[in-house]
Amino acid sequence: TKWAASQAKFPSTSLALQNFDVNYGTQLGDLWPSVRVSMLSEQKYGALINNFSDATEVMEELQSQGALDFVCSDFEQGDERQGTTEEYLHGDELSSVNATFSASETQEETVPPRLSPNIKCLVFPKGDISRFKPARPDSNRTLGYYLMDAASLLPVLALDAQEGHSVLDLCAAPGGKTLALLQTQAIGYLAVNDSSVSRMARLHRVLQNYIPREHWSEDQVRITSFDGRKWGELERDTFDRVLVDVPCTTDRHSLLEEDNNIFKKSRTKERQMLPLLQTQLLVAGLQAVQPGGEVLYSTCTLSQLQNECVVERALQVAQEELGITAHVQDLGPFAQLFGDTFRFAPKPRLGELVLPHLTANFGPIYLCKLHRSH
Amino acid sequence: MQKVGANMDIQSSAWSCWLWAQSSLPVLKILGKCPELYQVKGALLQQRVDNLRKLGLVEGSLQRVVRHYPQLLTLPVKRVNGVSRFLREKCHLTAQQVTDVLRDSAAVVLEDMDKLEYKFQYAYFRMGLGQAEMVKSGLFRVSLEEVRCRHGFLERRGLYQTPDKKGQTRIVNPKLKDFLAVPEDTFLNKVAMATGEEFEVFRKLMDREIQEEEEPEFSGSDIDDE
Ligand SMILES: C[S@@+](CC[C@H](N)C(=O)[O-])C[C@H]1O[C@@H](n2cnc3c(N)ncnc32)[C@H](O)[C@@H]1O
Repeated sequence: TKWAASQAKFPSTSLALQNFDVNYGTQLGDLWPSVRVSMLSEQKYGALINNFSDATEVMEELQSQGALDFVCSDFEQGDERQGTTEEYLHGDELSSVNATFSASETQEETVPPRLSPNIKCLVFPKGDISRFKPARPDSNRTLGYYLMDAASLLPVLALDAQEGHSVLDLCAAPGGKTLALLQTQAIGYLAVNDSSVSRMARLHRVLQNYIPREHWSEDQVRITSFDGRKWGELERDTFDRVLVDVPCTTDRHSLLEEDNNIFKKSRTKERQMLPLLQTQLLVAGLQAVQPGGEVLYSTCTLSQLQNECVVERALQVAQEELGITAHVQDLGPFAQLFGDTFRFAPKPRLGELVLPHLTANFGPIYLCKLHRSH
Repeated sequence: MQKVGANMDIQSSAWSCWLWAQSSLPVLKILGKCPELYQVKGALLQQRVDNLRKLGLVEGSLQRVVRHYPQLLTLPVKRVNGVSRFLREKCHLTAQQVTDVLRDSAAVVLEDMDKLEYKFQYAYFRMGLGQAEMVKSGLFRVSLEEVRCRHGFLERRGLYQTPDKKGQTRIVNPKLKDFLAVPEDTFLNKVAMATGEEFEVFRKLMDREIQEEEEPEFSGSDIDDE
């Protein structure tokens, strides 16, 4: 077609690749080739189990195909591994006898991180390239599992929503993480928002297909379509937990799909404005959370400009312009817990970054947890 | 397959005509490697040997081919000539290059012609190789699948680029002789800088990609995620 011919010269996917080669080549150094080949090859999915369906049956079927729950199995292994963690810390202490770790601090670090309960997600083991079949509706017409990048469950797990919490999902569509949040069956109140009306329609469809009517009440879940940047003005100091899963350069998508590609020449401006938009959304999240509460910032890009830099800038803006103080939480133990399933980047400045790897081709996913003190 | 006895007697004269005359050839070893040769009638064998000579395989080369790839003598003249014509006409190899291929990569004569054509086009267009490089690098000794797999792996890792119309690339491509016809370990440690596990998964993914390109109705599910 004409379109293809005129696009062929500079396909957006090639522009994306060139951009990544320059930026991530520098950022990741020797790791970049292994990440590059992974992103250019078929990614792996996880099957988020729907507790509102015949979950046990569904799990058994997927397990019989060789898939394993990475949340729970890692959790158990985490308990075993605690020993090694202690040894490690112990050794560390010995080597730095003079650097006085206070006893309580050390203890805190060895406590395994708390995870949102009831979230189960099955993946095929390392190196296994089997695929999940699309989920089938059960007798209630409810789907048994939702296929998503397993790494994109990590932000929800790290958010750690507790019994009775009120939670805001600021950029929610198409709803994968919303669905995972609802699996906890613990949340007292959930506000679901996304500025895109068409993507919100997809979220509605997802909820319809996964959550039967009787489990659904308007005063527990509220769905809105506001510009998330305005949230701070709408509802301040309100939520226990806020998930800020921002729009980004969606690295994997940008390398593979011409359609809706943010590296299109015509979208250059929009792309350059992303860090600003992301910062504003994160600041709004920090305003919406109540003091003592937690905000989780996440993206599906490797870009430091959209990850660490946004977090730093947002913390600064929140402090200087709004008098909001927040601190980055250490997700190291959390990453360690899932180190068998995902490859984490060696030492990001802030937060954690899942790097795609051929044997565990999930991500990229960046996550950073912020605790608002006041 | 090993019907040695009777045939051996009938044909031993033909064999002694040529084979025994080649003092350097380990005949028994060759026959052990390719017992089908016992079945080839003397006159036919002579014809095939003559034909190889006509294709430029003179004594040293001829002996080498027969030693390394005696199966060549089990094939009809027509087949061998067909492949040699194909290499000249479709792949634009010179007569000398064809001779080199027959000498160094004799198994090429057994390869499926469609695959051979595809392999040539892949090397020419996707890898940007000229005929001389193809012959020198041992391209014709490596299966199409292996070529695509190794090249694809390097390309996706950002280590190989197709040269543009002027033959230029933004990076320096690795030398073909270092990655095509070398053991996998060498390829991984010296050129790709990757682990065996990564390459093993890549090979599986590549097989599936190719299979699905060929029969597109069988492909992955449509997933709603971002
Ligand atoms: C990465 S996606 C979210 C994916 C979702 N959390 C999930 O797990 O399925 C980012 C979303 O941000 C939304 N978005 C973009 N700008 C926004 C804004 N100003 N306010 C709220 N949402 C916005 C987009 O419509 C898009 O759906």
